[in-house]
Order: sequence, then C-alpha cells, then structure tokens
Amino acid sequence: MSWLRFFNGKGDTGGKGPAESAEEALRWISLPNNIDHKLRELERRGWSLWVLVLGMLLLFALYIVVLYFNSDWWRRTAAGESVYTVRVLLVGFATLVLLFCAYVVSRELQLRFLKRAMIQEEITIRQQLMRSEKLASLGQLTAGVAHEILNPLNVISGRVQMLSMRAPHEPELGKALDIISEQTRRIVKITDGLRRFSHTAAEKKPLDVNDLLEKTLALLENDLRVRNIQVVRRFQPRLAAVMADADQLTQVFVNLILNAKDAMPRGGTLTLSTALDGLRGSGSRRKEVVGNRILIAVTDTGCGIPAGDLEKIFHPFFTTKEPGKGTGLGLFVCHGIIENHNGAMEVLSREGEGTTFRISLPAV
Amino acid sequence: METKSILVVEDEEEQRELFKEFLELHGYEVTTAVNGYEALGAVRVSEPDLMILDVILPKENGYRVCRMVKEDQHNRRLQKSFPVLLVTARRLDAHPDRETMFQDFSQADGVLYKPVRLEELLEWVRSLMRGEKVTARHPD
Ligand SMILES: Nc1ncnc2c1ncn2[C@@H]1O[C@H](COP(=O)(O)OP(=O)(O)OP(=O)(O)O)[C@@H](O)[C@H]1O
Ligand SMILES: [Mg+2]
Repeated sequence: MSWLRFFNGKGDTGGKGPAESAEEALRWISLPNNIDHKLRELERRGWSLWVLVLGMLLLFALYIVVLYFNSDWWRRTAAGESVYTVRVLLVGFATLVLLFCAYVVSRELQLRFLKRAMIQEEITIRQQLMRSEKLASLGQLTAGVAHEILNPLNVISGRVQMLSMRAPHEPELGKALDIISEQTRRIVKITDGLRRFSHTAAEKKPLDVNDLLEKTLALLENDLRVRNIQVVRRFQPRLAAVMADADQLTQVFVNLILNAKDAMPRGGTLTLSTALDGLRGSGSRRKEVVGNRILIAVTDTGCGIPAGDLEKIFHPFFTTKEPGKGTGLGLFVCHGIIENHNGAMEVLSREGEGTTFRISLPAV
Repeated sequence: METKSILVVEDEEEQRELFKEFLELHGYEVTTAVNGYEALGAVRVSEPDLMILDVILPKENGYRVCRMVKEDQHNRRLQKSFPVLLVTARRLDAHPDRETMFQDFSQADGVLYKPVRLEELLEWVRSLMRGEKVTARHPD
C-alpha cells in the first residue's frame, strides 16, 4: 500500500516556508531593499559555518605568532636589537591584516551565499503568487460562467414549469417535462459546485482543528448514525492552531466525511484523527527548518478506490457515483482549498478495505 | 377585487416575458422595464403593488434601484411602500464582500435565486402583497 502524494507542501523543502499569504509575498517582493531583516533571518542559518571558518583562521594566525615568538627573533628583540623589534611588530601587524582580510572575505562569501538563498526564496514566493493569482482568476472565471449559465437556465426551467402546470392531463408530456426539470437541477448543482471553488478570498484566522472537526461532525452525525457508521475520534489534545478559513476548511471536512459515508453503504467505522508533525525530529534544528505541520486524517472502512482511479479522483468531474448524484467536484475543490492554505493532501486506499485521506497544514 | 399590478425589471427579453406571462396567468397586471432608469421612471409615473428586480441590469444595477426606491418611500416621495423582490443568478459567496451583499439585500423585501421555482415566486408575491415577511433561502 503506498501513499499517493498529489501535492507536496513547500514546508519540507528545507528553506523557510513560503509566505503565509499573497499579501505577505507581495510585501516581500515590493520591498527588495528590506534586506536587513531578511539577512538577519538568513544569517541565523548560515552563521555556524562562518564561525568555523573564522575560528580556523584565528588558530592559524595564532600558530604563526607563536612560531615567531618562539624563534630567536624574540630573544634578539629582548636583547635590544631594534631590527627584530620592528620585525616582530610587522608580523603582529600582518597577523591583524590577515585576520581583517579573513573577516572581509568571509563576509563577502556569506553575502553571496545569502543572496543566492534570497533569489531562491524570491522565486519560490513568485511561484506561490502566480499560483494564488491563477486560482483567483480561475475562481472569477468559474463564478462568471456559473452566472451566465444560470440566467438562460432560469428561462428553460421557467418555461418547463409553466408547461407542466398547463399539461397535467398529458402523462407523456408530463414525464418529458419532469426529465427536463431533473436535468436542469443537475446543471444547477454543477454550477453551484463550481461556484464553491470560486470563493478564493479566504478569511484566514487561527483555528483549532479539533474544534472545527467536532463542529463538522455535529452537522453530519445524524446522517452517519442512520447509515450505521460508527465515529471514532483520535484527536491530539492541545493541538497547535492553523491559519485557515473556517468555512472553507469545514467544506473540506464535510466533503471528505460525506465521501466516506458514501463509501460505506452498509455501515462501518469512520475515524477522524489529528496529530502534530515535526516534533519528532531529533534536536531543535529540524523543528526550525521543517516547521510544525498539523496532520488531519479521515479514514473509512469502505469500498476503497481502485489503484487505477487514484490519480483521477482529484480531477474535476471525476465521479463513480450515479449520474445526478455526485458532481465529481468535491475533491477537486478540497484540493484547491488545501493548496490555497499551503497544505498538502494525500490519499491511501486499498480496494475492499478502506481509504484514508490525509491533510497536512502548516501550524501557526 | 381590483387587479394588482407588478413591475418586472429585467434586461433580457426572455426572462421578462417568462415572468410577465406567468404572473398574468395568475391574474396580475404586469408592466415591464428593461433597465434601472426605466424602472425608476416607471415607478414615478405609476406605482406598482410590487416590483420584481433583476440584480444585474444595464445602467443602474438592481441593488441601487432598490435602495433608491426604498429611500423614496422613506422620504414619502413615493406614496405606496410597495415591496421589492430581487431575483438574481448570483450567489452570496461569489460576491467579493459578503457583508455589503447582505446589506444590499436587506434593503429588498426578498431575494429569489435563479433558476426560480415559479410556485415559490407566486407564493412570495402573494405573501409580500399581504404585507407578510418572507425569508430568503440561499441555495446550498
Ligand atoms: N472515501 C472514499 N472511498 C471510496 N471512494 C472515494 C472516497 N472518496 C472519494 N472517492 C471516489 O472519488 C470520486 C470523486 O470524489 P469527489 O468528492 O470529488 O466527487 P463525488 O463525491 O463523486 O461528488 P460530490 O462530492 O459532488 O458529491 C468519488 O466518486 C469516489 O469514486
Ligand atoms: Mg464528494
């Protein structure tokens, strides 16, 4: 059984995580002179190497000094031979110059190193920005399309409704009209699904994921009970917060839970777990670099997903549900939302045994 | 009982015709306007018993028309305080600012989402004319 990873959050690339939001990214790009702040930040990462180099140079200088002081120059200086006094002083001066040069060179090298890191980071931020811009314009496009579709649909469905009011005594016509109504409802469902994708203007606030999951469950628990589905909670207490839009995250959880429900028509177990990742690393260094991530898993004991379908489930309109029942937009939208929160989403599934969807989000 | 009049403001002919035909079928007298200006003019010439307003209109949009009408009613520049029903293909969360959208909407007496269920429309028209409140049901 292998994890299929669809989107890998930037958090584990080893660099500093991507900017939290497009605004922050913008701020960084539009203020390239704000190097000081960034230098300090990056310096923390680079400094140990340079301490080492400087230390070695110092040792080297000390070695030279000691060597000369042990030679007969020293004795001769003490004996009052002024030529040797000058030489000793010259060597001392040269050592100082050497140390200064070493400092300048290392500083220069360090700056280059930092600049490279900054350019790399800026590329990351730009990519991030482009992605969120793309998402935003895609959102606008879908909202616009949905609106353009709903207007003519209003006329179609209105005319059909008027016809069926007038022709109740013609069963065949009535049936045809019912079918048209049914199909228009399907179109509305799809456009509304697309529209869900369009509200990309996320209002991110620090949120307690456990709390949010609990609230989502409260919405759906009745449904689950009726379907004979047992809910198991494995929440890590005192979980760090995530910066997220509550509505959007709820939407993700709802879809995952409903998918799990649909996968277990004869009942089963739904397990919701949360955990904190990134603490397990040894030493504090890893914590700093990786940053903690919050893991959320939704596991069911349902029908599972055939290996061949695994790649497709995140595609828009991919559904195995009956026509008119599933839109195939659920996971597509979830994925978009998680991506927009700098998170990652993975799925692990085996046919006949069950499925786990795992989300990781950067912790505050 | 005298026939009640309804003003339908819609820029698309087909939409206008649909509402007109349907409402006339149920015994209302229907006049139409194709944009915000026309609507404001029509209201001043003869006040309807109810106004049905599309949100996206050329020239003044539906919200603004609605607000102006409500203001005029408030200032007694209009005599009847007839109800206004907004009809829109928009959805709340497609709006960049949900709060103002709610405010915009709150000026109107009701909001129906396209595609409209005609029975619901009729029900709402009847309750609004009786002076009753209707509660919007956002599709979701
Ligand atoms: N927990 C799961 N177990 C088994 N199959 C799943 C599970 N979750 C998703 N799938 C498969 O992935 C497909 C796509 O899911 P997605 O949520 O995108 O759309 P949908 O559920 O079919 O439609 P909608 O979400 O609009 O109701 C589903 O049709 C199903 O085949
Ligand atoms: Mg789904």
